[in-house]
Amino acid sequence: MNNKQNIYWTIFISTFYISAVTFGGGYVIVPILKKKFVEDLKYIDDEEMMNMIAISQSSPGAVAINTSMMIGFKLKGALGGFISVLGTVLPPFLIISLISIFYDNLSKMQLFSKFLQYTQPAIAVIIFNVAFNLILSSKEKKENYVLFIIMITLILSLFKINMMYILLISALLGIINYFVKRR
Amino acid sequence: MLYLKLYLVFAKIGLFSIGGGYASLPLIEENIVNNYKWLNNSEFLDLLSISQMTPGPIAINAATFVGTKVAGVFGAIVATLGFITPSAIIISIFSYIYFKYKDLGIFKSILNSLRGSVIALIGISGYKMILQQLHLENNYNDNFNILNLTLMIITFIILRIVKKIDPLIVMLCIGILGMFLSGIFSV
Repeated sequence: MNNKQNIYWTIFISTFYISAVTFGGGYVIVPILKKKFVEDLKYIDDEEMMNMIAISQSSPGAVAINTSMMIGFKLKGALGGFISVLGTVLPPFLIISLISIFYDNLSKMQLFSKFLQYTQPAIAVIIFNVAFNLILSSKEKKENYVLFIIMITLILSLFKINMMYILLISALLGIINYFVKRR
Repeated sequence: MLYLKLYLVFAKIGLFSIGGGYASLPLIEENIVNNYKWLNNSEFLDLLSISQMTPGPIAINAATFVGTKVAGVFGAIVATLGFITPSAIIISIFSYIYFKYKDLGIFKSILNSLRGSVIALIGISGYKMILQQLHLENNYNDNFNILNLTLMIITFIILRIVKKIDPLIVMLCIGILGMFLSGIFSV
């Protein structure tokens, strides 16, 4: 019983913490989720984490919310999903509610905004590095098909093709690959 | 019914923003500023700068901000719920399918594909951010940012040496170092 309560609490507190400290949007959430749920808590392995991010990215809504929801679902079903969404939504909700009330004092945040500005170069390298590590580990595991898709995606995005179409093409290639391999 | 309207408009934004924050921004602007006039242009710009200084997905920030302004705390709750609803339904279905069939051949193959694409997209987004932070993304002669380059090299060295380090600690340290160095660089 105690253990069961603990995991709900862990889900809530982890998603709350991640959401509260993740500034800047975009893929910053990927290395942070990986660190928490794959490396520290060891609830999920690397491949599954990336699968969930891929599904979240291909679905409507915010990637951070979708991915947390899937992690919650995996760990504790519908209730787990609900709790992880609550944990993810609460920090920005509370902070923006407060700011909406004290909205005139934005200039007081200038020093903080300067600090955030200098975290940007670090975030850029961290995001690049996480992709770099994932490519290396695919190479190590000899996932030739995944490496092939990485190449294709890089080439497609050179032509500035919309991400939606890239994901669609990618899914189609997955289907083709399945039938080719089965024959 | 203002609450219902808030709920439905943000549900629509949630449903059509595929691909994260950058996809939802034009949708938010079109609906909130142009169609419903819940925010004027300068309030929308305020929302953007507040979002950059606060954690969390930009759409949640927008829902809370607009909801509070239009209909108080309850408005903020309704707008936020609206944005999450489409995600919650679709992700529930996808999660169910994923956890049930993830070992099925054809699903595995599609997932391998999507995983590869997302890895590449993450790399591209990091690469673009690096160029942007070095001020290299424009063709005209913008000042090349030596300070940011220094911070990037330090970040990269830390990440390669201490592989298990918490990325948040790296961000914190580099942010502080940047403020410190910018004082020195500007003297």
